[in-house]
Parts: sequence; structure tokens; C-alpha cells
Amino acid sequence: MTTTAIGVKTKIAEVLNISAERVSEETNLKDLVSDSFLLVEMAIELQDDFRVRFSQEDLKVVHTVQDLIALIEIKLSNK
Amino acid sequence: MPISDNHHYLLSYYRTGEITGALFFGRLAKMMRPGPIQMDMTKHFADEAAHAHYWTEAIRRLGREPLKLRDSYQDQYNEAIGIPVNVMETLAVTQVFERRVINAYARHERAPNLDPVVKETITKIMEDEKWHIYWIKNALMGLESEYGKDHIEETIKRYWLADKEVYANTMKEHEQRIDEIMKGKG
Repeated sequence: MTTTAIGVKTKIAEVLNISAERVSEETNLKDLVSDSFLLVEMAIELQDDFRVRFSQEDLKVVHTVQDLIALIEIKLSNK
Repeated sequence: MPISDNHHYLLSYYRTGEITGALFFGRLAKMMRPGPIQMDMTKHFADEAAHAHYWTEAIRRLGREPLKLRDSYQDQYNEAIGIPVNVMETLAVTQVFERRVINAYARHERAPNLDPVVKETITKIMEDEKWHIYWIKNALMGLESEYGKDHIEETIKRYWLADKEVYANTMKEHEQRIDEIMKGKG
């Protein structure tokens, strides 16, 4: 598992106040986040932690935890 | 004399919108890193909560109890605009929303035979609303180096278009009530 993947899973667990074991790469984010505001909170914290910027367009194709990890890795490699 | 049903509904709608705003900005303020934006955001959510209180008081002074309404103007935003995903987008959507609020209150203030309690409440709220526009505009300018001036302007423009759609839908729902009020019959 990459450092990015560990960081993303840890942050998701922290924001949602759930155990990290519940967050697998295949997990659908909608299954974890019932409240759309938590999704905003998670997105803002991940951007701060990884020093990247998402747009609404970027997140349209993000469905699973793996999609989110991939997005951050692409953003980091483009820096 | 108690206010009309139209006014009762509209003032309760304003009150629900202010509560929704306070909750939205309160949560944003909680998640942000401490700094100037968080400081102003904290004041902003306190203002919105105070406005909800002003409307509660006004409705009671006018002889009614606030209506419990489920939906607010902001709730329709997620549907039309999508969820903002960064601080800039959040401020941009807020700027568009606050301008809409100011326009709605200003229009209401021009209604003939407006009850002094409603007028006094709108005037008090408008003072804070002007500051809301001011701090958000400055905060967005401060983010230009990070997000790019053009990108921020495009985002605001996109939200304006979505807001027009939300507003058109809201007007469809409330047109009759607002019309009556604007004719001084409300």
C-alpha cells in the first residue's frame, strides 16, 4: 500500500470517526458518508493534508476510496 | 393584529434559511484551520444564528409562532450547483447566495404597508449582510494567488447561473405569496 493510500484511509477514518479497518480501497464513499457535508469536510482536509486542489469536476469521477487515492496521486505527480 | 398567512410563511422561510446558514457556516468554521478566513466565518455563522433569532422574535411580536419548514433556499443549491469541494468554491457559492439574500430582503423592504416590525428586522439584518459580502469578497481576493483570478471568476459565474435556476424554481413556489405582499395585501 502506498503512503498516499495510507494517508487517505487514515483521514477518512478520522473525519468519519470510524475504524480504519472499515475503509478498504473498494469501499464506495457513498456507503461511508451519509451526510454530504462530511464529504466536503473530508475533501477539504485531504486537500490541506496533501497540498493539492480538487474541483467539482475532479470529484465527479470519484466513487470509491481507490478513485480518491488515484486522484490525489495524479494531482501530486502533476505538481 | 396578527400577520397574514403569506407573511407568516415568508418570515418563517427566512428564519429557516438563517438557521440553515448558521449550521452550514458553523460546520465550515469548525473544520477550517485557524486564520483570518476562519475568524470571519465564525462571526458570519454567529450573525446567521442571530438573524434566525430576530425572525423568531419578530414573528412572535406579530402574534404568531414560527412555522417549522423542512426546506430552505440553500437546500436546493446542492441539487443545482453540486457540493463545493474546496474553500474557494465554498466562499464563491456563499457570495452568490448572500447577494440573493440581500436582493430578497431589499425587495421585501420596498413592499407597501410593510409592518414596522418586519421593516426593523430587515434593516437590522441588512447591516450584517453588507459585511458578509465584504469579507467574502476580500477572502476570495486573498485566494487569487492560490486558485487564479480567472478560475475564481469562472466559478462565481457558474454559480450565478445555477442560482438563477434555483431562484426561478423558488419564485414559482412563492410567487403568489410575494405578489400579494408586494401589492400591500400580504
